[in-house]
Amino acid sequence: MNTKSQLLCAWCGIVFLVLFTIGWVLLARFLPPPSPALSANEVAAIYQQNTGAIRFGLMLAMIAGGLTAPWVAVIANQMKRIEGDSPVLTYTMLVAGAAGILVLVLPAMTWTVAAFRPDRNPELIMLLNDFGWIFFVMTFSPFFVQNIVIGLAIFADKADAPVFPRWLGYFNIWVAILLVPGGLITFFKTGPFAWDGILAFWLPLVIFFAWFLVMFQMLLKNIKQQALPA
Amino acid sequence: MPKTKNHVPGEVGIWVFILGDMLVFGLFFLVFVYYRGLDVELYRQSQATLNQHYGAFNTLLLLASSWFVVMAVENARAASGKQAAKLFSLALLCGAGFGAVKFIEYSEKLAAGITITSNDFFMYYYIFTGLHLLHVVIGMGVLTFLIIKARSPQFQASDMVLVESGASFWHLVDLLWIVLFPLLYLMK
Amino acid sequence: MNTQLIKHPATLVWALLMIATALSWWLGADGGELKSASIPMLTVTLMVIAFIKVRFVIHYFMEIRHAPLALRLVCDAWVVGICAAILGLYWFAPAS
Repeated sequence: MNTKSQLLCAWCGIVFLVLFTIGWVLLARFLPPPSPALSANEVAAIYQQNTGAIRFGLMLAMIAGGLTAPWVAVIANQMKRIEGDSPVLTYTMLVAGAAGILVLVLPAMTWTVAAFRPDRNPELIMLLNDFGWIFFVMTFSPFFVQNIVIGLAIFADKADAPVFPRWLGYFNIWVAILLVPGGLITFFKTGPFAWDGILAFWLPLVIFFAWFLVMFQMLLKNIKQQALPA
Repeated sequence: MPKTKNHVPGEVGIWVFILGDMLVFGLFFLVFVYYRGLDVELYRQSQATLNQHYGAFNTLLLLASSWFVVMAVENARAASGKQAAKLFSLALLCGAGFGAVKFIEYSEKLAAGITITSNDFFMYYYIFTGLHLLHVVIGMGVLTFLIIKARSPQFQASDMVLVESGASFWHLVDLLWIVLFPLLYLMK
Repeated sequence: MNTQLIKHPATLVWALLMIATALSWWLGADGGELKSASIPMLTVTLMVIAFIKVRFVIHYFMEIRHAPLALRLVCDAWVVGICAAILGLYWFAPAS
């Protein structure tokens, strides 16, 4: 059994959370998000005042994004145990997970471009700021697909000793649905469905964070079980 | 009635989903009441354009459907799958009626030029009732599945877990509407 | 359908729920003609009726009254917590 590699991959998920929090929250101070209702000058001021920390913080966030690759792989590895020879849901999860990395990395790089020349025309800073936030908050589809197929794979597990407990399947479906309100931010500049709103941003963010912790626990349990002599 | 005490209806996992959904809708309710408090007059005026009779009639439809589902579960327990299938079909019919009323209601509003971006009240109105309608549609899928299960000659006691899980989900659809109705249509 | 099912406790509960809905319908429709002083009490009444209905649905239709204590407590906590929070937010809303 490749217990060590699996453990390494699972821990990458946690390192991602920590590194992303340090870079994106503590250094760049992108939490709470700037309101979509801010004027161009107000947006530009954010990038002008905190330029160095934003640049460095977003670099860490970009590095963190890559760490979700091994994380997705270890989930896929456990899903493949369920699916066996014809792992279509596992493949779907891998492809969606790969796209998910871009949803984490690309906004960080867009904001980096804004912070690269903070003295340029504020309208352009605002454009990049909008692009980053809309890409980051609204793009729920890869994560949605990822969570749905994890749920479906768990439900399809008819073994006497299933790989994952069934409640984890329901949990994944629930998480998937909660990511959907992010898709509404295109309509709003204020309120709960704006990109800084409680239902479009905060709820999915908290749930996404919790999903990592729950999946991590269940993965660890499985990896340890696999390591036991049969 | 279940045979034993301390019986979890359906499989334990479905309760992760049901309670999770209740938590989120609970948050929806609170967000609505909070923002309503910031601009009561707008919400009162907008609410006055809603047709309460549609909302109330839909509440009655869902309550009736829930009762059919309870009776269907009891019949399934008594191993009379055919009878259970009939009652599930009646519940499904009520669900379709709910959808039809909602369709008429939405068409009237849209014809009057009222959309999701008209004002904050209608933003909540469309998003909350829309998400709830999505639950109704999923629930109707679940009921259809239960009808097929109950009709099959191989229907057996071990299928009760499925029946109870599906029934619990349908009751969730009912209970969320019970709160949404006074919240959107009635509160002054 | 046999008569035993008609006598099922859920049937009585269902009848009560239908009556409660009709009552809310009537109260809500009349609200426009009420004096403004009684409007807050009307809203509180409507919300309390709604959450009592919800508790009946949870306990009798979802059969939570036969469920393990933990599940019963979680469900009841939701009913009481969300109802209280709604009423609190409504009552203490900044006057406008």
